Amino acid sequence: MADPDTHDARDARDARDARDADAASDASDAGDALHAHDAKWLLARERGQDVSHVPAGERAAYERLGALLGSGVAPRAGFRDRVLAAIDAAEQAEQTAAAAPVAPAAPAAPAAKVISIAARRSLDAAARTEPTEPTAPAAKVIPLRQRRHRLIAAAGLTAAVAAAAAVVVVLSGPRGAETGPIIALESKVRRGLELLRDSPDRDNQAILDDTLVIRAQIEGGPAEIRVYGGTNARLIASCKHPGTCGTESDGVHRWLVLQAKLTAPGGVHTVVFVGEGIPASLGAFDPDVEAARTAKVLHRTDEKTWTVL
Amino acid sequence: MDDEDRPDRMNEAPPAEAPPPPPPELDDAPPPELGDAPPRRRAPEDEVPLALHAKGDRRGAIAAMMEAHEETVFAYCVRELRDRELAEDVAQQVFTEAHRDLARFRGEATLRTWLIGIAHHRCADAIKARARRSSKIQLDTEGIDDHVAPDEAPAERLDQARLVAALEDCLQELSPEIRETVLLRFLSGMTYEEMAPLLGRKADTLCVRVARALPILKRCLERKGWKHG
Repeated sequence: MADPDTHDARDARDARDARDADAASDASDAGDALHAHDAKWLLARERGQDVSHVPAGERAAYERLGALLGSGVAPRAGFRDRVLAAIDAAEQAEQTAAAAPVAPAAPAAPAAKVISIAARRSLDAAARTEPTEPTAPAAKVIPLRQRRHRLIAAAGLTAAVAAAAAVVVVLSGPRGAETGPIIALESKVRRGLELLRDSPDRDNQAILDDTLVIRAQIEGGPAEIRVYGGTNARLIASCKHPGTCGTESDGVHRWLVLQAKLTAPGGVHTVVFVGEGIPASLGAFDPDVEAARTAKVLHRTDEKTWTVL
Repeated sequence: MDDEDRPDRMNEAPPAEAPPPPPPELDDAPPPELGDAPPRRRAPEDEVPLALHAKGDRRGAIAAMMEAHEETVFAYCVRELRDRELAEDVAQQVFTEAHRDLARFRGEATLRTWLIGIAHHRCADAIKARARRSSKIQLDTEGIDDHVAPDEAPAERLDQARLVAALEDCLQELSPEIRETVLLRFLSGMTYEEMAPLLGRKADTLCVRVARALPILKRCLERKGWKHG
């Protein structure tokens, strides 16, 4: 890969590249002369010069090699759907973020996430900020107790507005009142009793018989978590809420939990669907996501894809 | 892609003594914007995605772009990274970035060139990240059927799949710098002048790399049984 350096260093590296290329060939091979001959006319070709003097058979072999090098490689089935689902999820997140500034006193707080945090942040912010008194004449001295009362009243009003705005955002959601937003979706792998560390560099590898632990934080419902795996991204586990999904709560957040044993090698994808009218699973990732999209059911695919080895 | 496909390629190669352009900073490099020249070429496969984008349908534009270019982008990633899972992740990142940055695409290169430029940077990032964590690199030898067109006869499919797998092995005989030059040359549709700033080398140096690498690849494939006659 390119590195910033001096021209001299770059020239030296070019020379090293040339040596590398030479070294990579088999020096003891009797075809060295042929190799050099080919490299010479290929260089002319790459420079756009006429190489019609080279026999057509020789040129044809390299043209086939070039075609082979330029040939595409198909990704696994469902790649395009996964990318588009990720783009949809990102757009939904953008829309949610765009809706957040509705809360005027807490522009930095993600209002759709947790009402209590938004309200608390706005209260904190209001309490930290020296309040301006636009209605009070500059010369008028306000008694300390009265200022304190006004401060408390302003903070309370701000908090109430923020909370109300957050409630509106949460209840309306991006697709109407029946479909709440998906706030978070995360997955981890448990091996025996050990929960593997969440790798920051996307080294998401699991082995057979590991357990995938999926946690989804949603607002509203109903919801369904589905896990797809194996070579054809088949449905391997699912749960519904309310119903079969486990739940966790820290008093503020509620998480839906699904644990799935990984019994087939390949990529593992997790999707959470939220809202009324979630289409029944068709047994595989692509048709399920397509059906949800057609039914306009909010869904999000876990950005993290685990690979079972 | 062969020579006849690109008659203007390298006809105006800069002189060898021309100062090389500054090398890019790969870590934070934005998607490449290839100069400020006015639009100069539009590939037929770019028409639909750009028309959809002009109508404000970014998602449709990306879907059309993937229809035309996902195999090329994935081929670049899988040959650079030699890890299909990682290559899919990186390819997904490429199209997600393309979706985000499509408004910045000014038509100074083809969409394929633009996408491969993004892929080049993201693959470089992935290689660095992989080197940092020093984990075992999983050489991917499965799923070679994915390499070939489904409409070919089974025997031809197998032959073609083996050939492509052999090619990917042979590419490993090249140094990383030479390999990425060869891949850009044959997959991106870039001219050597366009590749030069991306790789931080003179265009003519890149010509030399490719000219020397091709006989190595040809001989390697022949050792593996490739019959090109």
